[in-house]
Amino acid sequence: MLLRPTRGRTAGTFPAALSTTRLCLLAAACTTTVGAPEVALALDLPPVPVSYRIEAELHPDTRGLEGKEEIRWRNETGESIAALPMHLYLNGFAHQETTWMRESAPRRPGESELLARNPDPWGYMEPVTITQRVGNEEREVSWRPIQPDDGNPFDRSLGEITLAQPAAPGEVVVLNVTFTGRLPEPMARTGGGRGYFLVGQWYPKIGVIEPAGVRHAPAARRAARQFHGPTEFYADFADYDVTFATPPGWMVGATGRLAPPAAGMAPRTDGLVTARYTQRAVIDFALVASQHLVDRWERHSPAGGGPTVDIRYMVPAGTEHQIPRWHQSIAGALDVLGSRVGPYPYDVLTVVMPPFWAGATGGMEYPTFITGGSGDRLVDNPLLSQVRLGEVVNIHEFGHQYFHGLLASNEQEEAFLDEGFNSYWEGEITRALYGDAASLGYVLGRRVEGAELGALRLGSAAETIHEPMRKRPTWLFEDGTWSLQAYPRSAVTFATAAALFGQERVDRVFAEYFRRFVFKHPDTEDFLKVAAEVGGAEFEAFCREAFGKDHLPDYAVTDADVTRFKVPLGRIITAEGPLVVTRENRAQHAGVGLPEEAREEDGQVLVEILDPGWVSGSEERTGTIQRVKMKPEQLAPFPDHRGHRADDGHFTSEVTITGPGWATLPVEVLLRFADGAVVHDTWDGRARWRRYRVLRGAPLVDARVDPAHKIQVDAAPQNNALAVDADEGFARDWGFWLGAVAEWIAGGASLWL
Amino acid sequence: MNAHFRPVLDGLRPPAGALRLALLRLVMVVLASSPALVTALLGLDAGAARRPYFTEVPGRLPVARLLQLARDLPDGYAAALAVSVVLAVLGDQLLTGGAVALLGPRPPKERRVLAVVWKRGLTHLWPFLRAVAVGVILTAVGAGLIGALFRRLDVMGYRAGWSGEARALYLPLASVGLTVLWMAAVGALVFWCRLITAADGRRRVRRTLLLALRVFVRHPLRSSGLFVSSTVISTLLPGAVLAAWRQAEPVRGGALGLLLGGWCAALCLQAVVWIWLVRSGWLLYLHEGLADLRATADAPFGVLTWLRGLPGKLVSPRRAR
Repeated sequence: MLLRPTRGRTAGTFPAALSTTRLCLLAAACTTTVGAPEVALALDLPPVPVSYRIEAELHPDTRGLEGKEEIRWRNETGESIAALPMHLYLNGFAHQETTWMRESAPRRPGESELLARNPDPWGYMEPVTITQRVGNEEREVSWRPIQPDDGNPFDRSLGEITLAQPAAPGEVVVLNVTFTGRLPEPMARTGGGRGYFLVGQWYPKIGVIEPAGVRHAPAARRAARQFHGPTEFYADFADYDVTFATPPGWMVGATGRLAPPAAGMAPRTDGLVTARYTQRAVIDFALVASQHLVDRWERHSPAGGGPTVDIRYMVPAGTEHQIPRWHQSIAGALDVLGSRVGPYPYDVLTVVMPPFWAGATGGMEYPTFITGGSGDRLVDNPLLSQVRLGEVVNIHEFGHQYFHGLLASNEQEEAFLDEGFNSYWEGEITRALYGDAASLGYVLGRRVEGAELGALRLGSAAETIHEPMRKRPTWLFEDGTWSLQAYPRSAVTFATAAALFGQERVDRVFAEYFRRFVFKHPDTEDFLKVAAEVGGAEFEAFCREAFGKDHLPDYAVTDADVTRFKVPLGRIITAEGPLVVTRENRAQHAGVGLPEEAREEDGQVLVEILDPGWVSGSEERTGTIQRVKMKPEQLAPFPDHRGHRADDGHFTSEVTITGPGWATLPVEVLLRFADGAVVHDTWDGRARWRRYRVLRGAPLVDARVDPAHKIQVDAAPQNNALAVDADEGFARDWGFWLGAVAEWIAGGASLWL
Repeated sequence: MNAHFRPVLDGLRPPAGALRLALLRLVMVVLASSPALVTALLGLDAGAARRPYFTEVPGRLPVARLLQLARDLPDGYAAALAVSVVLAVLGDQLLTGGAVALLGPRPPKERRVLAVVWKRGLTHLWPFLRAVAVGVILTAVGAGLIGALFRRLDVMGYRAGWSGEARALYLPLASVGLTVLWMAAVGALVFWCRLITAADGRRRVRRTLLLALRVFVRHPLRSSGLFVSSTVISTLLPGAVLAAWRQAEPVRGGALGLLLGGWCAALCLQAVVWIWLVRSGWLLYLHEGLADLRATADAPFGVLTWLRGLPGKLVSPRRAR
């Protein structure tokens, strides 16, 4: 399909919050950031190596699935292939000892709760027969479960089909599989019951064998892995033609578009109703079947070009009035990603808002089909109506159409390439749509800012992060850290890059990354290569370090002190000769021992900078103490600070800052003085600490490192500035309030005990 | 109706020394919580109040910074809070002993409130502390049961497909509300146990608890009903002041003074309510319909004695020989 290079005008359903100005900015961003292509990219959906033709039926009473599929797999590995990996994801939900159940234990309902919800919550998938077409003959082939990742003998989420006849390079293998299975009670991503089923990861699916060169594979290699708890999927692009049968009265929505029944397909005689959906060049196929959802269609022409997209919203009955909110978020995501990364190449999208009880099937991405947050009256409650959680989930899941729906990285190996990149774009989209100040809305009148919350989440667990973000595989990150590594760390890394190198450069890198790798399988090095070529060497160096460091950076002002200058005691050489200063005569010799530079007659501030030096691998720098004259910026003075007045003597101000020891994270340092003088310095941040000492006629008010908060990957932004004196109003307000809280609790306890 | 609630209404008429007692309770709560107050003030002065990240935010702190501030609370605040609670509970035992003496029908000749509180409080401290222990156990057990009940309700709601509003908002709120009511109900039991202990000079907490329960059965509204309703209101009201304080953020100068005044008023109300409860409880306990309870002997149940003799009973005399 050739994509129409449409741009700008939205048909009928333009989102109210997207101002014309903002759209102009988006369009401008598109033309300036994509650079080389003058018009939106026109993408043909490419030929793909796999196709599935599936006929299946759902038995709601038993959660049962039965079906058959014809799989055509073209051998693009350049080698003869005798066996194919096959995913049986539903077996991850078969019992408590599957690899998925073991690894996801901290995040899924516990045993008691699971069984209380449903005494038989389990799901499974079993191939009944598998045959390989050889000539005109259907030869039966064998399969067996394999566990290449952990050897767990109870895990059957991955199988291996031994072909009846090996596939030569370029040859197309045709497999016919009949299967039976069962959807689980909703635990994560799939499942259902009671009139609603999210049918995901539901059919036997051929695993990836990467040809040499893909993701820098030195030779053809299997990339299919078992179903793991922390991470999701990796798949070949494929064409899908799925006919799905349900009892009458069930609404079906799925990946792709509804199509007429396949030619030659006999009408069903068992009373079931069929729906046929087709979609080219996608990495998976999912559907929803429900008795309780209603649907509405919207249409949107993305600002960045590409086809006009028909968007189908499927929501629980009674929540249709929420659809404008969801549509605003989806249309905005289409606009921002379309104009700054690349055009969405499909012309359809289905957005499912699951009922609250099946919320575990929400927040999931499938190609041209996503599930958002729960469609529920909760969203309308005055306490929560101003929070944009539903919108953010929608934006995030739609972002996955790009990362890894189109840029199909291996999520199990390098989850940050999709979850992390997508989290960054989630932040960009929410800011573009809802503004910087409160991108996630308000709770009890308090702003909720997505980037700050993400950074807080990351920073609060910074001490637990001891591994590089790019480490493989993602599912083997240290306990409790994989989601931090995969989601917010990458997001704040790119936010930092945008602040350091410019938003335009980051956008240009992503646009080129998309152009080169859409419908391909990139890895970290692929991205870094684009970063180097389009973003420049320093951009690439920053990304490489940020992806590869085993800890988060933290700049901090740890100490900021002021002492009044006193004439030093002892024998001092003056212009008039030696002078012995004692406690008794000290007052008579004001100004003795004060360096000339401290008077600042040339308008410059003398700053003593202690750099302790550092060693990093083969690089090193010897520590120094330098006295540097700096031209201060002059702002309004702080007349009441520490009772300071002009001609009130001199003060020694000392500031100690600490840093991460990174090589690519220079930072601005700012010292503010009571007379309004502001001294700016730049620190390369390579040593672990640095000290400033200033002797001048005004005391220090505060010291700040990274005052513009460019380094959003900083684990603790709250320690980036330190005032010499506490803000008394703040201390009283919060101190007395905390005291009152203690009184309240103590008083209540004494009353009731 | 008026006669029925006479003890409750008469309890509002303060006898001599009641005002000083209320003041003493107010001072006790403030003093008991002073470790947390001092820790908070000093800690903020050296910590968050020097960080422009918090102090330079115009208006209310955004949610992320509020959470960060909670993480950066002064070291030792939580420990000081725990100490405050222990001190307040201990102080309340002494105060209750003194209050029952001072507000009763035969107040002591000693006029100094503090001396009476100290002397009478110490007299009853040990049984009072055992009553507190029972209260802690009952509170914990009840809260656990309420938690379990609402978890079951949540599962029921899951299976029945209840709305998210019902499951994620109303059920937790109902759970918290019920837990608060349970805590207040346990508070009523402990309070009445202490009142009867001090009134009659009893030492047997378990038997006294049963006497308190019998009072509840005979006069539910005037005993437990009054205690639960008045203490819940007088506890929620200061809570509302605290919430309003934070919603008014940032609070500076006159506004801070106003809120502190409101807070002190709420604490005063709590102290007055406490006096009212002691006084009306006394008057109710003197009701002629409870004479049989007052006459009940302070004899042990003998459970421990029975348990001590149990091994001997289990071993037959022949085998023992």
